[in-house]
Amino acid sequence: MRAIGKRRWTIAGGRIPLESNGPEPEFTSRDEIAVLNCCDSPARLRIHIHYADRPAVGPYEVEVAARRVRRIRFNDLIFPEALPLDEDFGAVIDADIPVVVQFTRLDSGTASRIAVAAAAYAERNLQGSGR
Amino acid sequence: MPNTPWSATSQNLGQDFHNWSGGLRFRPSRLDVPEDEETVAALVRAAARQGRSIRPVGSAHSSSEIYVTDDILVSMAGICGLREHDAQHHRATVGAGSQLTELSKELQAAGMTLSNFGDVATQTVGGAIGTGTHGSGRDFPNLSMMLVGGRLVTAGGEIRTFDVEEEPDFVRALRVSFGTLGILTWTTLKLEPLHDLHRQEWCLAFEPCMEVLDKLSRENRNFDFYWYPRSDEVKIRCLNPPGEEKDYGAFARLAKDETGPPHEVIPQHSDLPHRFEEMEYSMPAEAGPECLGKLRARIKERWRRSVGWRLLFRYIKADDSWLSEAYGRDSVSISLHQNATLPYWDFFLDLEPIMRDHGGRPHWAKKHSLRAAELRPLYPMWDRFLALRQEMDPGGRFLTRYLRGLLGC
Amino acid sequence: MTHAIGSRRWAIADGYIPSSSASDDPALVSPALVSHESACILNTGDTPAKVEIMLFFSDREPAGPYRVTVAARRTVHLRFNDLDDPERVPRDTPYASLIESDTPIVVQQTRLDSRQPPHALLSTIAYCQE
Repeated sequence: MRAIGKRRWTIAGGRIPLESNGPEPEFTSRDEIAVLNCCDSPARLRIHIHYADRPAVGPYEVEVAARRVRRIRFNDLIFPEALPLDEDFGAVIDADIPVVVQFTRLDSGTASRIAVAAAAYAERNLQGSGR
Repeated sequence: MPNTPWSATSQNLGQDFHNWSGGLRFRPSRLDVPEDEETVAALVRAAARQGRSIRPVGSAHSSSEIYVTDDILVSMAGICGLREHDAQHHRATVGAGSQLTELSKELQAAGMTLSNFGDVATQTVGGAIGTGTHGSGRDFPNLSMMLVGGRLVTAGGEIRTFDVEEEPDFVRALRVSFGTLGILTWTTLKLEPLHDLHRQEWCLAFEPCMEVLDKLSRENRNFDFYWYPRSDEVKIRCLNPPGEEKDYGAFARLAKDETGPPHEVIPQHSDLPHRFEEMEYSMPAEAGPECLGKLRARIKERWRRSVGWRLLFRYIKADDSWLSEAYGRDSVSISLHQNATLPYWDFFLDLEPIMRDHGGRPHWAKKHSLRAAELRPLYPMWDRFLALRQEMDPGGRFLTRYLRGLLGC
Repeated sequence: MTHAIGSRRWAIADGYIPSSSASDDPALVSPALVSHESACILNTGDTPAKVEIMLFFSDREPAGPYRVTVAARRTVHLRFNDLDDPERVPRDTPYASLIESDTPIVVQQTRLDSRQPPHALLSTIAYCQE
């Protein structure tokens, strides 16, 4: 199966909402990435989290099996360090093979607001398989 | 904040001694690593002559200050290994400095195993016994109950043998005494014939788990569960003899399935590369679910922002070790964790009163804020223990400033 | 001849069709308010686009191919809810889609999640290969 995607992705506008309403984990407010691996081998991801006022934390290491999609909630990343909720962050996602990353925010807080989600920025002109 | 700065006396270590999590750092005046029991005795005799303090240390996994000292620290790592065993009666004599995983491999070769383990197996025998380390299971008391005999070095530097058949009260006091009655050297343990266990872990939501919690805890050989603050999910962890496992597929999702000897399938997080700080309280088992409910409400209301680490809920069978967390009552323990690199004290201190309100006793080797005045009412055998300690170590050779405050002596 | 805008390979990593809607009473819920997910496919070219879709899951092999043709200079709002050949898209199950076309197209994903409690509507340009 032919690879699709890139090996480096960036999300600039992360901010996990603090409040949740409704049954969980279904309606847990969250920032989440869906990572699609169309390749026939597993993808190993290393994620670094950047903050406004302190050094970056990482790597958070996650694997996505071959020909699978996997959702990763930023809320659930604990090792090396839990992310603070309700605080701005950016994420850089490095993968050893091309993957597609889509970023979504679900906000079930009482002050309901429109979520805007966009496909994350994918770095162009990266040498390697999949181009 | 209880992180008292320690002043070094004569420095022999070029750098601080620190515990596993890195949260405890201190400078003993000397670190000794004796290779045999007679050397331990000689060190204690010398300390006694000089009026100095001497503390034993195992793997330094503890995050409470029970071994923090600015005087002599004795690592028991050199007193280790399986010395003799009795396969017929399932007994073995092992060094108190034996690390549990390494010891288990030797025991395995001899056809035996510990009955239970905690969530990590990095502790030494002496440390695990002395602090009331435990696993989970309604029918399983803590690891101190393995101790049925052995040898220790007294405060006067003499070697004393003990046997639960001959001195039951002394052994009950000695079991959970974190090195304040003497330094354990060789320990005789009550074990089990080697066998396999089938481990299964299932994920489900919080409410459905609590509805069947009682049944789950009774129909598995070992049972405990994690609650995850940031998804409100639960992961139940069940261990059974192969062939006796239960199928929870109707209401839960199977997340792990493995079979092996106890030392491979019971401890799950011995090799976690990420350090954490921990607080744990043990309470009467019937108070456990209500306490967890209150902790959950408080965490969701106030601590989700900065805490992502799961809570661990475990069962401990009642025992008669005088300072055991489960002395006299079937118990439930609840553990809170936080990444070691993040602030943790405010979180622990905010939740500690909830656990105390449910009759909780703090884990001797984890973080807590209690001192003698608050601890004494929790242990029916407190005064008898203190009297015995005074009798065995009137000069306070095995005490430090922290321990004097902890025990009120 | 107009050069078609877009790309021949698209991926939507975050797919999800909830099984429930704002209300369970079909008399009260118009089709527009039933929870749904769509891929809006635009073909600006002069020739029809033959499109093949593969769906990916977290714990099973991919499903498909699903085939749809988008006529020249037309748009199709393809509801994932309505796909059923070779198989229906499972509800309440995270999935992803790989969308391949013989001529360039533009794809946009829309989801309406009308479950209780009320929360966010999501819409996003999918990731394209070149």
